[in-house]
Amino acid sequence: MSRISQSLAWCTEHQGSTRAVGLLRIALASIILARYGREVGFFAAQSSGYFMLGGYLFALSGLMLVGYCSRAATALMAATLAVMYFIFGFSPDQFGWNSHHSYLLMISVFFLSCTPCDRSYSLDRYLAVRRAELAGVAPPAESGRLWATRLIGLQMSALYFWTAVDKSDWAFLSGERLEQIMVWHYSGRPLEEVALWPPFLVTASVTVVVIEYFLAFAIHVRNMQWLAIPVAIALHAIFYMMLPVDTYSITMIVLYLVVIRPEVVHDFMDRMQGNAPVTHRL
Amino acid sequence: MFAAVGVGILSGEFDAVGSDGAVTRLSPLQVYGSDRYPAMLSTQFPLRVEKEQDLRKFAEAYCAKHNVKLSFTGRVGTRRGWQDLRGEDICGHPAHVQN
Repeated sequence: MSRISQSLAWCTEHQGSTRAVGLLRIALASIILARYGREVGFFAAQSSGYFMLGGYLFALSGLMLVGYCSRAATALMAATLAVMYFIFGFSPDQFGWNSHHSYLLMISVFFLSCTPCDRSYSLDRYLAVRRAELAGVAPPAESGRLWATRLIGLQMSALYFWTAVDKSDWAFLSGERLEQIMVWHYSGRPLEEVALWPPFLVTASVTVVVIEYFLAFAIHVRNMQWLAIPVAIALHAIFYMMLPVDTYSITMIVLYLVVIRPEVVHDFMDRMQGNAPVTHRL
Repeated sequence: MFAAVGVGILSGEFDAVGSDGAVTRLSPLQVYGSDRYPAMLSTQFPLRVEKEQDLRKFAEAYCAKHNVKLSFTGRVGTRRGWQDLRGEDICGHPAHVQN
């Protein structure tokens, strides 16, 4: 098999346990509610369009959360987020809906809708198991084709790589651009002196760029994930604590559910529930 | 969003010279009239400075309240890092223009 075929197969032939995508569906629905709930609540509707948008978003996120008609709900949610990003997001009074964290949420939900995210941790799963019991057959396997999770991983890599490229200049590595950001966020606040301390700014700038280049590749290398994933989670946690990155950090962290091998997530859940870790096998 | 948040932000000092010649040194936030910049996600910031002329807009509210000759010496944030920026007689009050 050629290298190109191998690379394509790495994506297209990927399959395994659906527990990770089931968990991701619940996590993304929760993040969507936390991010947009206040802004699309009926009390905040500026027009009938916003009212309808709120109705769609609450109904679809509810379906995603409980996992009923999960795949259709996730696909429709992706479409709703696309409308919010591309149409409402460019309205001058709708700040933040076309930001990078909104894009990340939208594209992640879109890729998730291409996975069998209904087969685990969902009402769909419960109903399928009950139907199997009534029919006297084995419950359906919690497994399926997961090529879309590879695309989520590649999206994360692209994000890390290009944000690092954007920072690979003297203006950033010297700490100047980070200082500007800190001046905005920390001026007049108790941590102003620490946040604007030159050695901190230079160290933080260089460290972030190095880590982002590292993560762009390491998250896909099985032997490096033991290091890459904790480093990534720490990086995003620090971003969240130090800067108003909104849902960017938590979205990136939960996306690691599908970067990890699906059988690892499956086994972990089995062990946590005291079950023998064998049910994910195809 | 984050790449641009520091663009147009001032770092430096304003000098306000009163009609009696007394000089008061002010930070950009003092001229802006707040203890801190607004939370980024709740509002946009229309007072970013790209060039010397933008200093007048930045200091508009301050100038409306104070009859002073205002100047700025410092830097402004750009995508290429900090750039030096100076502004003289930013308020342009007639009494001071004649001085």
